[in-house]
Amino acid sequence: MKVGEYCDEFSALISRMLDEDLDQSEQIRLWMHLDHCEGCRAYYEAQCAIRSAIQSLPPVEVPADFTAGVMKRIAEDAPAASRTEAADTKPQSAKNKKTPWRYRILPLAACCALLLLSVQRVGLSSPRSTASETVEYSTADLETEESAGAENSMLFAYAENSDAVNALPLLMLSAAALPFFTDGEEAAVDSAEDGSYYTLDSAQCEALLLWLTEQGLDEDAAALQEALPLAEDTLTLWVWAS
Amino acid sequence: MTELDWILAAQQGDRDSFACLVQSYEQRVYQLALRMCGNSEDAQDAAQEAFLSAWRGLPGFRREASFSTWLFRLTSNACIDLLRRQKKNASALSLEESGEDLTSPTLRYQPETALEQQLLREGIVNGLQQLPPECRQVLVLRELEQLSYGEIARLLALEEGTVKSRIHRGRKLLRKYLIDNGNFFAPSASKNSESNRRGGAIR
Repeated sequence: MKVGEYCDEFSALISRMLDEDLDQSEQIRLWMHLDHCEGCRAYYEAQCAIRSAIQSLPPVEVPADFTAGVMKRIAEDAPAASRTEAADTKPQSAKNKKTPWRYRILPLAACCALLLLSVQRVGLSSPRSTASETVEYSTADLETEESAGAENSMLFAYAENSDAVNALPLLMLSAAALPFFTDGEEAAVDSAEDGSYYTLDSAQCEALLLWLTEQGLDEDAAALQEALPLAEDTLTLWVWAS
Repeated sequence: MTELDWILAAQQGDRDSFACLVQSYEQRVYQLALRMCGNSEDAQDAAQEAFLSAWRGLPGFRREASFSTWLFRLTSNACIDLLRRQKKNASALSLEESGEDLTSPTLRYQPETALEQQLLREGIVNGLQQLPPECRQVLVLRELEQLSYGEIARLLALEEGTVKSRIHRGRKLLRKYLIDNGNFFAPSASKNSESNRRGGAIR
């Protein structure tokens, strides 16, 4: 072995030893090796010194106005109605969901409906041929007081496995698409009791596509058509309006 | 009020309660962000972004993980996003490009004087910034937050094996940086004393 070298295999064991991840036989094997390998012994000593130094780093000083800065950003966060499920969480029960939703939406007159749209693409089943009848926009199936102003909203959809807070939306639909979920026969898509999220299988996605086309919502239809191939077998889209 | 009270109230839109959570966690979140981003301006941006994400995501937070674990994940992701945007990882260390260690094994690794300890700490702060973000992320969570392999794996949605190998790689790279930048010390009589203090990051 050249001067300064260590054994890759044992350096990995040293790393795991520092993290107390070795079983007894691995520990014995490592100690026997360290007994005669100067390079690995030096590596071990260096890693111990590094750990000790990292853990003795002085605590950092948080800027004095940090909390105020965070709260200012929250106050300025225009689409605050987009407070919604984090990407790694599952839909809450309707019972638990209504109150927080009401609380966070009411102060924000410009913001309205919170929707969670789940799209499960389980292969390509045959398209459902029936389109819903045209229905007038209604927020009755949502919590009415929160959904005032939905006409000016956009629906933002995020893939389940992305970070809904930081990621770019996979799909944006205009609020004119909302009636598909709230009214008419196509509202048969699975939804929470309080109407805050909707689940569509692949056939229902296609029904939505057809409905958007029939409504003359060509841009929305094109956006959906573009997004669907990106879906994996199961895809959850998080949708909210702001 | 307990932390749980703050969380429940903040989930319902109570900003004062959320401010309490921010104050309670700002030190750990900011420290994590600073160690990952390397400068206070970026750290403040990333830490604020993490708290903003927490505020937005709180209604969906189910407490399946602890609030702190969830918050560290948001912080870690905010830092990674920021670093990617800035493409800072272009200057990250690479074992493949720079070759293996050629230094003497007679180096002294335990700093003996206050100055040596200070130099080593400075070297570590600088060296962390030279690591690839994915290595820095897991190493900081392991060493500063002292999370286990399993906790880090769950937090970052990685396999435990990936966490182990990234930590191992991060440690190797950090040691190499410290040696190459003279943050470990040769015995005073050693002829390597000066040559091991040549400074400068490996490219």
